[in-house]
Amino acid sequence: MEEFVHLDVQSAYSFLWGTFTPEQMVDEALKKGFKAIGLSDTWSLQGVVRFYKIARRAGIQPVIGARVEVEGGCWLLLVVLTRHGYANLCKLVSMGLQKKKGSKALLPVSLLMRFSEGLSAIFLPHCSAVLEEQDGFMQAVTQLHRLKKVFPGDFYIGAAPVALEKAKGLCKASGVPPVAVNSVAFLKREDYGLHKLLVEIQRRHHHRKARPLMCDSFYMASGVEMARLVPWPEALKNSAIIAEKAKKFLLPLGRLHPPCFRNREDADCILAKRSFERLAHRFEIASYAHIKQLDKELACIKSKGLSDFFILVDEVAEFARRKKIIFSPRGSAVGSLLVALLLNGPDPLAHDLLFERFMNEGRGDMPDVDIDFDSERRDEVLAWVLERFKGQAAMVSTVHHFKVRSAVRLAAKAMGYSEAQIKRLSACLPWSLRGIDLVTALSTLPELKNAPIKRHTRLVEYASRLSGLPFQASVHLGGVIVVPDQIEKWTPISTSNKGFPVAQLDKDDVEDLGLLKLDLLGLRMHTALRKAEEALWKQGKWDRRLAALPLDDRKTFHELSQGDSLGVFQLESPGQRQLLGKLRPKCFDDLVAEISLFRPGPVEGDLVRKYVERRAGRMDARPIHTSLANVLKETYGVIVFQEQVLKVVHLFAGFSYADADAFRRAMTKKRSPMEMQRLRAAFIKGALRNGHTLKEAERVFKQVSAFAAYGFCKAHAVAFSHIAYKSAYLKSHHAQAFYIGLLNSGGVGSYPAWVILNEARRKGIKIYPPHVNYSGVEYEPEGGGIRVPLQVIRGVGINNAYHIIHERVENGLYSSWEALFKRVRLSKDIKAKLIFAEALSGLPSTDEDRVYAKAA
Amino acid sequence: MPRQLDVRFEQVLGERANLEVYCSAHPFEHLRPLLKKRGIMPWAVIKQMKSGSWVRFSGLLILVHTPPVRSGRRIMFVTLEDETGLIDLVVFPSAQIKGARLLFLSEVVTGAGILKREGYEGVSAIIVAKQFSQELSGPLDKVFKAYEKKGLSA
Repeated sequence: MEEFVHLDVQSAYSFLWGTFTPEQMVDEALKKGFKAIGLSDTWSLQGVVRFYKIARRAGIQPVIGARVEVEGGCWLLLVVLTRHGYANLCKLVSMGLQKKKGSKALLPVSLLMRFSEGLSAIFLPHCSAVLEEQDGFMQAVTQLHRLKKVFPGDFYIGAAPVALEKAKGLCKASGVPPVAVNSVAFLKREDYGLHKLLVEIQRRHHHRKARPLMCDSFYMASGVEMARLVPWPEALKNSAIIAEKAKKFLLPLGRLHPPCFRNREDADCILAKRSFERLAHRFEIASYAHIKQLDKELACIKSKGLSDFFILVDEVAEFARRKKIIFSPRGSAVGSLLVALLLNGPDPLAHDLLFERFMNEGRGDMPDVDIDFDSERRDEVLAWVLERFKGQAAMVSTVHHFKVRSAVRLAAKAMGYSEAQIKRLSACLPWSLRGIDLVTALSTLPELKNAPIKRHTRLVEYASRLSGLPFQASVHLGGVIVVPDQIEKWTPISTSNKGFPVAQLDKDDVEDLGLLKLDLLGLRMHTALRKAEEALWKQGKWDRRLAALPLDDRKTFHELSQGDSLGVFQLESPGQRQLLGKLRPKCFDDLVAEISLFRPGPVEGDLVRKYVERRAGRMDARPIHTSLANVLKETYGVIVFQEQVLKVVHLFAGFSYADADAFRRAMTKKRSPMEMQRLRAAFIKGALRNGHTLKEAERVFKQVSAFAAYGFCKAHAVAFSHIAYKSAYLKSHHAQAFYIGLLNSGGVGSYPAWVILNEARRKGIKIYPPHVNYSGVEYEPEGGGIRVPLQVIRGVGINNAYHIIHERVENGLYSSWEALFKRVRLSKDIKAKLIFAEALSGLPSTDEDRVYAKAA
Repeated sequence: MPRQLDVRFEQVLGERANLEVYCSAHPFEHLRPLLKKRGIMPWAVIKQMKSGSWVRFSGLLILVHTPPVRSGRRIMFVTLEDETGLIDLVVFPSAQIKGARLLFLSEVVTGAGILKREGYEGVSAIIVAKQFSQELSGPLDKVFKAYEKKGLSA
């Protein structure tokens, strides 16, 4: 058995406190020769899955715990001993987070009693406020007696080097055994400064009353050092005993845990019935190919026990349909006919998509079904899902890390620089640097050549250390997990600002735990298109073709070919605009290629140039092998889509689609030479079996392996192309409504409102300035022009705009400046802003008003 | 500069100060006579010129993008806007030495480079920026003053 194990370790997931990531912590533990190491973040299990995986991979036993504060000013470290203990810890942390008093979380002892099983508890005297009070020692002893009963046989007093005598006294008075701890918050003594800086960020940025640790002794001391610092063999040994007990607990990684709401056979029947009904509803006469495809997909889903999952997806879609919320599927799921039927997606057979890219027998992970909703109404869907599966569902969290610019700004603030200095020092610093550190950036990027920050070496040093560290947790854009049993058995739950339950698991943790995640995302373009259609309705110009859009509109494709795509979904970036001019799309499939090509993968793989040249007839468009002509015909012999990789490997080397998908995924991940050799051998063997020569097999393998990593998912591109086409159609036929839709959807795409309005003006649409008598709270059509809303006047804001408009709607137009100022209470500053912005132009004013305006 | 032009430009500057958008006109509509004197044509004219032409450009900065590219070098893709449309620039590392800081900090960017036209009828047009004018780049009002000062004697 080990002599000593650090059980009390706070990583950077104790945000703005710990100075290291779980990776750095495990590395240091390995260097110091520890065979086990604990993680005990404060009120958090956020980093646990990551830490557990890294530690196991490194051959170190991970010990999981968390620090919580109990009523009476006592800090406890709770260590997980069993699966039940893990669920209890999740529950306790959740309760503490829910029962916040001000910003402080506290647990009553009565709660601890209910959820103490499977946990070992360590009282931390050096952190507990109870001992700072006048009769603190006696109070602490009383509390220790109570807690001893809560954790019979598994309760200890933490003996830290900084409070050894205190711990000895408490042990003697209460009869509770000691355990050596060092409350590690930094890995090396010299990192104490960084810890203090993090706490200072808490104080200055978040205005919290935090205190840094008292000295630099809270580092990861080696076993030998700990034996010297805590010369108490029993305490040292107890840490190892607790770690040994914790060995029983294993996180359930690597297995699927799909939700289960009904008997499996019943679920299979319900799903099959619903999907065939939908098939009959969608196609008057369903083709044999469709029936066969659906049958195949249902069989795959049944074999994986995922019918309940797809019923859940159907229920979500049904809710959205009932509430008239626009939605569409995205990602590889679009390749599934079942998903198309449940979510009104494009027909995968018509677009030659592959179900196997989405799901196949060989994949061990949960299928990813991502749905885009009208962003303004997405929360209604989230609220419904979280209520429908109450206690079983929660939002996924996401951890934000310090980026270079934020690291510099926050470090400078903590170091006492003024706002003006911070602005000057961070000018030209990018938000993030791709793969280079701050010091390298300062010496290589030309815009930083004479940057004043270079003279502030300590700031640069601290900012470099901060970059990449976890900064805070927030809510994922749309990820919702649904677990088979109670959510709090899997993760602590907190509540978001919107009142939604939020898990302390990020998307990678969810995948590692094999849990179901639905991405219910908000897509602003859906909102923009809805608002554009509403604007058309208002003017009685609604185009009937918008309901069932013809995909061959010449005007739409002509304008796209001219690069006239500002505001068009996915096609408006500078690169896409340039590519549109080169590709000149003429049909829907051209849009699919366009959207797929301008991606980091295809650009990096030089697919764009090859595709453009071949399409223009300037380069030979022969496929890599004649037998693959049909597969690669649509892309002029270039492998653009991931689905094509699967088909090539399937047809040429005889792999099943499941194996072909495994081949593709292996190619896209970091390939080891050994893995590459294995894949090559399997490919060539299969190709030879299919009657190809060795030379041909080697040539095709070389090409496929070169391109496999760069392809784009065609299913995803097809889904997005539909939205892109609709937005392009609206732009070419109803430009005014299109721009109004964009402007009223809160920043769609890459361009700010002023650029969109400038383009509208160039297209002959008149822009009317904000006016108290004519403007609304949104951009509105006015004749053939666009009336700008009141809140674009800097500083006026939505509330003042709303009051002015509400009063006008209730009691009529404003007849003069005086009338406005009498009827609506506005501050002097707002009045001045309205006057300067000419939002009162044309209204009579008194001499007094004019004098006031002049003075303002 | 005619007084009337001055007044209209003042109105645009007023919009710039008080609103988040330009309602009356694009600021460059009023600047154009001065720009022309300095040999700076609007984008609608530039994009009709022969590929390979040396051109002078000026516009309001919209975005600077530095996507990962195959070579691993940092290439900046910049979008400007004048009164006739969006101007796409590509800035290679050699031009970044003098221009990068200006591109990150300016409201108006003025410079010169080589026009590249590709695609059918040269629809895809981009300027490979080679030089930037420190004097005629920066905040809109400062640039206006610089034009006003130099423009009359140009």
